Amino acid sequence: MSEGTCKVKFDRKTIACPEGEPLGVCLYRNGIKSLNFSSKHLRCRGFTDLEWWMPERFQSQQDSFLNPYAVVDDGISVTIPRPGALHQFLIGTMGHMVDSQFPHKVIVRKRPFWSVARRLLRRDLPHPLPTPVQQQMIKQSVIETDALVVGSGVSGISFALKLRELGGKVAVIEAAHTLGGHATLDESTMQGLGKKLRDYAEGLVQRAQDEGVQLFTDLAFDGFFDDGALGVRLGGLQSDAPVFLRARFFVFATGLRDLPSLFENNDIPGHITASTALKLAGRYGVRLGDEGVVIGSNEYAVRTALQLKSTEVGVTLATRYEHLTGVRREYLAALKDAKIPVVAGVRKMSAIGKTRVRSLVVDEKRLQVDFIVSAESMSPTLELLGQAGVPVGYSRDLRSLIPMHGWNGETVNDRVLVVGRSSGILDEYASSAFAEATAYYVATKLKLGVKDEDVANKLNEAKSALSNRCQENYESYSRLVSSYEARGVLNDHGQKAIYSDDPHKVFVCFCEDITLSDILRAVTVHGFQDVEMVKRYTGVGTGKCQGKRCLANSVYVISDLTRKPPGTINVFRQRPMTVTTSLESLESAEL
Amino acid sequence: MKTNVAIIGEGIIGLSIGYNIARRGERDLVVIEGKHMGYGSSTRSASHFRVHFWSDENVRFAIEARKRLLRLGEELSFNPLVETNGYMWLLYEEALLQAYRKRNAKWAELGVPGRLLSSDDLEANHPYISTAGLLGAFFGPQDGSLHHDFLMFGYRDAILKSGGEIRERVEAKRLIADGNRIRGVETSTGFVEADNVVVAAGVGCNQILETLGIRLPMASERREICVLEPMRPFIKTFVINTKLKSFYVAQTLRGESIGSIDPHPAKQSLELGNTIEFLKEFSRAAVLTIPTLRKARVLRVWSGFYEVTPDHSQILGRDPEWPDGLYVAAGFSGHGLMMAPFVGEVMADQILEDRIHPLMKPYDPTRFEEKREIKETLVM
Repeated sequence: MSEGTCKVKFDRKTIACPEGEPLGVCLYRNGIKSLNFSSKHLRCRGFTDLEWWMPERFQSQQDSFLNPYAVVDDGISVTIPRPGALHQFLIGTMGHMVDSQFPHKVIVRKRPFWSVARRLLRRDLPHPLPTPVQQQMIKQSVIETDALVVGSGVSGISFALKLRELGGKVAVIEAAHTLGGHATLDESTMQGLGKKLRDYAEGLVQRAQDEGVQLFTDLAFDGFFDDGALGVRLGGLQSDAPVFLRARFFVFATGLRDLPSLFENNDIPGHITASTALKLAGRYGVRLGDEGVVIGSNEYAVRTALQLKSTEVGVTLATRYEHLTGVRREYLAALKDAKIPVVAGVRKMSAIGKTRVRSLVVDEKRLQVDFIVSAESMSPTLELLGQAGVPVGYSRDLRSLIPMHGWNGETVNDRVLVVGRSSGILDEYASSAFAEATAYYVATKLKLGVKDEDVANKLNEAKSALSNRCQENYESYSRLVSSYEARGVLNDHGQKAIYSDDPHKVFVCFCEDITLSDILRAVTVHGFQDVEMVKRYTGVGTGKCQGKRCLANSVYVISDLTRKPPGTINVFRQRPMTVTTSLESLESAEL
Repeated sequence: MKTNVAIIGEGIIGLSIGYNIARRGERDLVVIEGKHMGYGSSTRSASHFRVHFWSDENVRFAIEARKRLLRLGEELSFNPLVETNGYMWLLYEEALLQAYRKRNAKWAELGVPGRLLSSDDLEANHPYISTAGLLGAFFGPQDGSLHHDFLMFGYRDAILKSGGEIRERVEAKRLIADGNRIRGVETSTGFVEADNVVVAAGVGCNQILETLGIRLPMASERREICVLEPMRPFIKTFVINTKLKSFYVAQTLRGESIGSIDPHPAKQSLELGNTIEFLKEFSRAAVLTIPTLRKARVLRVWSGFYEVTPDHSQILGRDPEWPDGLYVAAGFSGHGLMMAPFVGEVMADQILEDRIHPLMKPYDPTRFEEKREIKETLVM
């Protein structure tokens, strides 16, 4: 074994992991793409997102709830929880009778059958069994500051640097292992700066470190409660620990979360989101395969395709739209130069493969692929905004649900502000400028002696930065803010979200195995028109990721089916926890 | 529009009443709901039922409710996922152990005998429970769990199929009475004329009843509850720790564990929300009761209301002094879901046939003034 690697036993195989690398990464590197098993459909699942909140679980001696994002130690042994043989037999023989709700909602309502079925199903659900562990000393901590920034991306750091400069106390928390957010994955050259986006983001982080801004990694915002805000230090193999977050203002700079695309067999191992693809290929140097497809039509999709192409893999861009939209000229030119084929106007997509994707049928054409990347729709971190009571609207131009806020990022909750991509600014440089303007605004609230005209000037600078760099984005952002100012919610009509005619094979919720057909039944047979009722009927959003992967997609699907604007579908009430937290950690929380 | 029966509140109680009325062939029925199905309490419940109460009235009522609940899976188009995995009260004090022993004789007489388990029994059959300081436990095998949403969906479906109407996101504003007769309900979308009005709006009952100057002795208490990430089922029953503020936990059919602990002090509130305090207390009690839960992870927390009456028992029917045609089914003090299947039946008896079921009698609204309170002390 070479220096700096550790050996991990994974389901009886032994693999070598470079030190400090998340377990999921080295599994992917070793060609292991299926990390769990669908108890309802009896097939392999991979992860779509490689994020700190990953809902996939491994069982190990140290922690029964290890997720693939954890950095593991030498000698650790993990297994995938699988359904028992009986469960498999039951589902295998009665699978066609499994009704929408949960894997166990078998249509055996007659009493003698039901009581047998429930016992059998209860016996071996594919979940970990808690392992007895030693009591650990858990150290809680407190972060007390004027403004707490959630998210260490370009806008979060820009805000923090500026507020600090203006004399405010500020702390930044980041749930991932590394600072800098999605921009650190982006090798694109930034318009007007002649600099790579990654360098820009890393430069900001460096500056923040030099200037002594309080920065915390592996620390997630866990929720707003009546008696305070709680964060959690993510422990990986160690125990997580509670952190009390005391701040006058909470600034959400949480960016946009990629959503898995909705096509046939989209639960196949090898279907990953754009940020996951960039993380694997860019940050960790994992070769994704020989050929792949990027699904999407916006600038984000184009940039993703370009970067994947630069890692020496073949890439095709596919989209349901007739044209690419919102893509700046230089990226369109680069796309042409890189000779990336674009398939537009796609109606149907269907993935093929058993334990990993082998090919993708795009309309009638079969493409040999090793990976499929979703880069078409994104969603702000609805779970945080929902907890804070911030209403969410839908912007047609941004093709996203978006929190309602004013020019300075202010929301209906006077302690909560949003900045950056989660506020609807897609251009990173302009989002930096807007975040600085928000810092001026917060500085006046904190009475740091900033003049009102400075706030206005700063905002105007930001506005012209955005309109100069991306007029389209400026216009959509203005529309969003005007609706907020009119005390309304932006309610554009959505566009069709689904690439399929076969609703049984399109997965909307990956935690609870909920397909499009389940939602279809809820909407058309039972007449449920909003997410809350669809959630109660199908279970969508109640799984381990708490809606992070499925909430926005289910809103888009219901909007598609009911022909109502996504903003009116009533996103269900989001409740803490933002990230699941262990009892031993919560037990130690001393107010 | 005019209807025979208007029910205010589409919670489990309103739906059960609606279902029983519709089942008897009465199609002239409207359920009015201000938000969505089960908004206030029903969708927020821990979804368990029991027959073991301290008062005979409640035991008898709950036994009838349980009988109907077990049948509902076959009657309704949804499977309410009923399981009879029992309730287990962990006992740490000799006096309490004796009290349960004595009470169990009565429970046996009423037809629902439980079992007293020793620490050794527990170690053998429920090894996950910590026996530190434990004297024994009382196990009620008749008790169990269900899925509240599916039960409500089943009721709802049946009402709609039989021709009844359910109006959601329509707020009941005011009750209208004409001399000594109810005339209907003023709603946010217009007047609903009705011969009979049933107020089954949970914690919202007093707000609507006050429009006729009626007030039920009922306080709204907020309860917090949480659910843990799914695990392979290993907690075999509904475990209650009598020493730690009635901490309870049970595992659902999906493998999630659902649990709560008594608020201390009881929080009188109409605001939904959660506290870190609750999470801490719950976690502490959970780890003490079932030590292997140490690494189990909290998935989410939420809160709901108990509408608590002075005797922790429901208020059913009507006060003769109220306008004719006005009924209430309220104040379930946390037992609404488990009582609902029978509540619907006895309320339908009274509304449609003017017949008062003997088991319903003790719950009439006049009992507080007349000092006929029910002696219920087994509350959690």
